Amino acid sequence: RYTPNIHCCSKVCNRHMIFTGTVREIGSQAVWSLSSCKPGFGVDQLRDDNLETYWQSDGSQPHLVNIQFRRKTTVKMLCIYADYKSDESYTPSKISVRVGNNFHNLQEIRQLEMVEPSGWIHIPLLDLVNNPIRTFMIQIAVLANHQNGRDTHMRQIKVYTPVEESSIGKFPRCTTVDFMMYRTIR
Amino acid sequence: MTVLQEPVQAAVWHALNHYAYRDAVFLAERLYAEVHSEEALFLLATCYYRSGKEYKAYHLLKGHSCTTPQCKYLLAKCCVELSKLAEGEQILTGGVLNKQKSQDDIITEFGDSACFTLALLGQIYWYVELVCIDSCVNTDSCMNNFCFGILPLEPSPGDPSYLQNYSHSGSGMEPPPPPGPPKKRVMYRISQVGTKSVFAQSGNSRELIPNPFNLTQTTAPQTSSTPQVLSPTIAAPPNVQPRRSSRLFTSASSTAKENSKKLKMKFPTKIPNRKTKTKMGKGGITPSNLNESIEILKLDSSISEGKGNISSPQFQAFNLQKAAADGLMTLMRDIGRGYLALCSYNCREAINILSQLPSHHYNTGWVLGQIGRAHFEVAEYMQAERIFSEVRRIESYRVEGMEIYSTTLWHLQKDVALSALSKDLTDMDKNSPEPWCVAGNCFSLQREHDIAIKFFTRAIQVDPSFAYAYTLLGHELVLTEELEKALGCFRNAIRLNKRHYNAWYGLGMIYYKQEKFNLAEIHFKKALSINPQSSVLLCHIGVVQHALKKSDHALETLNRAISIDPKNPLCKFHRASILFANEKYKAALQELEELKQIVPKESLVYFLIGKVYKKLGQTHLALMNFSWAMDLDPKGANNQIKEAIDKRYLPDDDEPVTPDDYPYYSTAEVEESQESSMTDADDTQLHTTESDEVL
Repeated sequence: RYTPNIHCCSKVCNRHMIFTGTVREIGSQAVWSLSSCKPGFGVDQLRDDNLETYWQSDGSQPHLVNIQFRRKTTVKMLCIYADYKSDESYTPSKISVRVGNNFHNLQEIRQLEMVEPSGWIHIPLLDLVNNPIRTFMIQIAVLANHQNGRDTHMRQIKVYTPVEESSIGKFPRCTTVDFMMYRTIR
Repeated sequence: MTVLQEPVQAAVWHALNHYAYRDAVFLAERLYAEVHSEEALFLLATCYYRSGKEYKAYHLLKGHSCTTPQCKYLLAKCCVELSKLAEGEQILTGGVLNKQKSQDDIITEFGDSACFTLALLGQIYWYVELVCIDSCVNTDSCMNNFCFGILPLEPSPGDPSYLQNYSHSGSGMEPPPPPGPPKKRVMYRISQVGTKSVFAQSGNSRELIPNPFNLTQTTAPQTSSTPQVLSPTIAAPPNVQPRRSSRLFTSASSTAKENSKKLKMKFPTKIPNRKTKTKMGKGGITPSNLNESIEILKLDSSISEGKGNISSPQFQAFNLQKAAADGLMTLMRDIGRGYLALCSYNCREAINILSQLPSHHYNTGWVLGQIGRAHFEVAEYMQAERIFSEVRRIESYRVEGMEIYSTTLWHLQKDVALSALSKDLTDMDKNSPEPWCVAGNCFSLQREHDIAIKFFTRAIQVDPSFAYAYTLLGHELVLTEELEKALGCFRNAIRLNKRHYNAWYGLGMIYYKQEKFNLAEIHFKKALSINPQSSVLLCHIGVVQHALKKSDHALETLNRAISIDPKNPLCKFHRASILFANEKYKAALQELEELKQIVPKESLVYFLIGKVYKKLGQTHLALMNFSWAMDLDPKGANNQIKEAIDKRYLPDDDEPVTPDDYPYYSTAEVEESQESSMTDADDTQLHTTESDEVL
């Protein structure tokens, strides 16, 4: 499925949703690996919260980012920061997202094309009934770059899980402080 | 009230001499609140200093005028400890603007403690000289003027003796001469005062301060008797009191014992309760200590009574003394009763009792802190916040109880106040667990749970017996879905303090999340047995009972909760939702309408009303309420509300509402600029469906 990209230009990804407690970044709970990288431009630069540093691949396409969780995890959204102005021919243009239990049973659930992106790309990962997917592993594959570049740059990737309603009852989140005050004992 | 001061002072010194600092501090605080004398101020500051909290002594003395030499000396000492050298010097030597005191002035002012005062001054100049050396190394041009002219700490020209010793108008690039010879001269000068101990002390300090340049050391003056000389002098200041207190304690007259029995009866017998013992320890009044201080007073008054028949003015004086002793005992008893009520979580009772204390005791950090905590335990967070901010105003150096204040601010979501509090406290005291708990709460409110976990872990490192830090850490781990670790933390908190009901609650919450409802109910009930007045706990129990299909019990529990605390809207909400689940729609609606009046902006209320109307088949009203709910909260509840609408209308819809469209709307919500587009789209969808319905 080809879908147009939605992107936002804020430096902090998903600030609002984190703030209302709707999502939580769980990349730190996973093991990250790359199909190839130039020395000094690897996983650390991909996960350092710094948009100036980036991962640069160093091999043949498709370039892969593998995210493996300790246990089956609910993932609501992936966010990738890409900037055509800085990366030009290194900017990914076609990305495929695959999920599964391990390297051998990955299935593509999303494919998206990007045209000169500049900012965060939000990729929601929903199943057929619009629930966030539950998976052990996510693989992000860069199938093509702008101007047919061979290698790719990716500046940051973030993975979000929906936050469970921490209070009692299967209700949506309450909105006023008057309610929230009494929700829990701390 | 001067007659009464001495027994209490004796008790405080007794505690200090036995290193029972918490007791000493508590008594000294009460004494100072009662008599705002400088002696009491000095005593309180001494207690703070000796318990290792120099910053408290500093703030206390700064905030009140210190004219007596002992206060000034202590304040200067605190300044040196806190590296405020300029201020320390100013206090001792009279300030830059005023005429500098000469050495002789200092000696006459400080009398006996002049030796220590001069030693302290010497220490200040030591530190300054070292700073001077460093800066000289860095800036060659300053090599010429190795004198205090560079530094703001220069003693004024009116004191040539010091300048003589320290200025070196050497030439060119000479390395700074070794500090040995001048020091010797200074020490010699000080030793002329005639006390060996100072000599020894400055020798000590010289050895301790490292010489950064390996300059040649001149032989130090003899310091053989250093340790022994110093310790007796420390015990010396309370010249009068120890003698008196020992007299009191050794007296064993039978009349005294009888009187003591009578007076003991006045004291509530419940206090040395084994359940509240741990809490007592935490608060600083141990039953034994209270009894002891009362012993002192009793024996004192009984002795005075025994001598009462001698002559009438003496008799009157002794009567006054007894009356004053009774007054103090009443005060202690009331405080004790209030504290006991708080520990048994009889919070309203505690607030009543403590509010009736005389106002000069009420307006102190300790009392207000207990009242604030009482409000906190019954979820009256607004009042608690008011009281705690008063505590901060009166005693800005107080850290005890601040962790409760920070949780109050967390509940009220006042992030600015919380981060200000966190910064102030962590700047002031890095060695207590409370400031780190405040910092953790601050980051937790900002949803930075990993950082909050780091701070709570730090609080635990600083004080491994601080149970609340474990509880807060447990809550953070729950929020990051590390349930096993969270269980461990809550269990640690309970290990440290069985009556820590927050930890029992935490365990219950984890079991609830894991859907182990029986275990959850047991733990919530255990928490409730400790704090029976908590409507939040009752609310949780009600919901768990409903999950266990015991809906009648659930409703009963919720009714109890509402009767205890009618202001808790969640109880009504859950009662309404249980009625809805049991198909009592009219009752549910009534409940929800009432709730709408109390909390008109809560999206959940409209959401539930919408669901009720949907069940009743009144689709227009349902849709209206759903759209209100979405308006009030477009971000969070969106998916559930959309589902509630869409399930009904999806098949009838002509337009293909593909799943792809929704995700983009939900992500578009993130952008503030795109908010309106979402609501517009939803409105059109609702209108379309409505029109279909009409057709």
